[in-house]
Amino acid sequence: MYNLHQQYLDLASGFHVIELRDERGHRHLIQLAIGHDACPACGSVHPKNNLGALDPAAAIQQVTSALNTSQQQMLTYAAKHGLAVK
Amino acid sequence: MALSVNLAQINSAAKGNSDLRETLTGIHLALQSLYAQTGTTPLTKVDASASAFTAPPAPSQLAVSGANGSFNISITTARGAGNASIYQEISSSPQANFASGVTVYPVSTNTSYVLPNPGATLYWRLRSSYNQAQWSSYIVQPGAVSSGLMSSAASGSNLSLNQSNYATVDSIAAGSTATVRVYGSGGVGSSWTSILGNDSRVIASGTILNVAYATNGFVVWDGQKYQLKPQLGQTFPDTWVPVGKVSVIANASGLVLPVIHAVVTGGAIVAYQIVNPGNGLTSAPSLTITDSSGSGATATAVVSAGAVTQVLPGSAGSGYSSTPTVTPSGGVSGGSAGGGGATGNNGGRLYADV
Repeated sequence: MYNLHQQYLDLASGFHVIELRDERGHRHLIQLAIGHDACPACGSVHPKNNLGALDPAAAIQQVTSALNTSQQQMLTYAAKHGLAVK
Repeated sequence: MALSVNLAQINSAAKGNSDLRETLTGIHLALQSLYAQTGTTPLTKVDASASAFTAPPAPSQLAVSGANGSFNISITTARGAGNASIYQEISSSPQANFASGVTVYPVSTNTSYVLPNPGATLYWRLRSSYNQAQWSSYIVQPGAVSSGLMSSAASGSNLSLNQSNYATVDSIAAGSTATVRVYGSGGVGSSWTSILGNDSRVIASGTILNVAYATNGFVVWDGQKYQLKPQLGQTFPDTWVPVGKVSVIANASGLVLPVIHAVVTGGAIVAYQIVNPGNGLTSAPSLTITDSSGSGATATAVVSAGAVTQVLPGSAGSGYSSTPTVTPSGGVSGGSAGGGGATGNNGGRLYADV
């Protein structure tokens, strides 16, 4: 099952980066765009005007749940047919 | 062996060139005088046919380093008799004992080489010769040498790279913003493979949230995370991997998904009614049929001039109530289904362009 591994703010690109990992080392990145796309000329990133409405915890929960639901279906299949999971 | 040239031979050799004849005659007379005074031969023949340098020279010294995708080779020769030219033969192998995969480079008297071979790790050796027949023993560079990767700064402009990937990028509606997804052939949440030359690596899947509609840009992998850029500069870090070109299309583009009702007879869907044909469609939207009790029905939309003109029933299914819901989604060419839903809100599309 996927769980939160680490999260940080990448100020240069304006992303709140959330890394999920499962027990087999598979990774999935959730990236919340909290900054406008970088200016092509100067590369600067400015904050979006909806930061107050963002709910990172809900986003993590939503994506993690979707990934784990998908993975659980496969594991259920493996258990049903006696397959080893690698 | 003493010289035995006489004046007649000098005259013949000069062939009427008086300056040459007088010069050679002067040298000849001076040598004769020196011989008469010292009783020793002042000059001996140099016989080119003699095997003066058949024995190989002492082995030269070899130094190999790797940088920026190339091997830099430096040879320090052990000078032989008469400053004769020393030929060098360089060879390399991926194996320390040179048992296989040996590459022998052209023999030359050069003492430095730059051999481009990005990403290679090789063992090197050198042998030397005066005549390319008798060779010294091999001098082996201690340990393997890696050439490293070639940076774009070291390559020519607009160099064509063997680069591709197996990433799928799309977007879905998420309320007032869109979500961009990057994933592999295993579906959402599966990793994908980036190919660069002979190298390949697996990159984690990603979900980029809070992306504005109608955003145009490019998704790149920067080695740690994804970045969504409005455009890529002419140059960007070598560590970046282009993933896909993005064009997120919002409802503002004029897309209106169709409204379709199902006609149920005996629990099976036997026909479909196009209540609203939609507008701005550039491909057939996917139709998802849901119901409180029935299942198994499928249908396909046919699009012409931006609107649905026909719905082709597939499987009729069974157990349907009188009011199953038909939900179109997608409807934009080149893309997978967008956000869809009864509101007709399309999450947009990410056009792969790699």
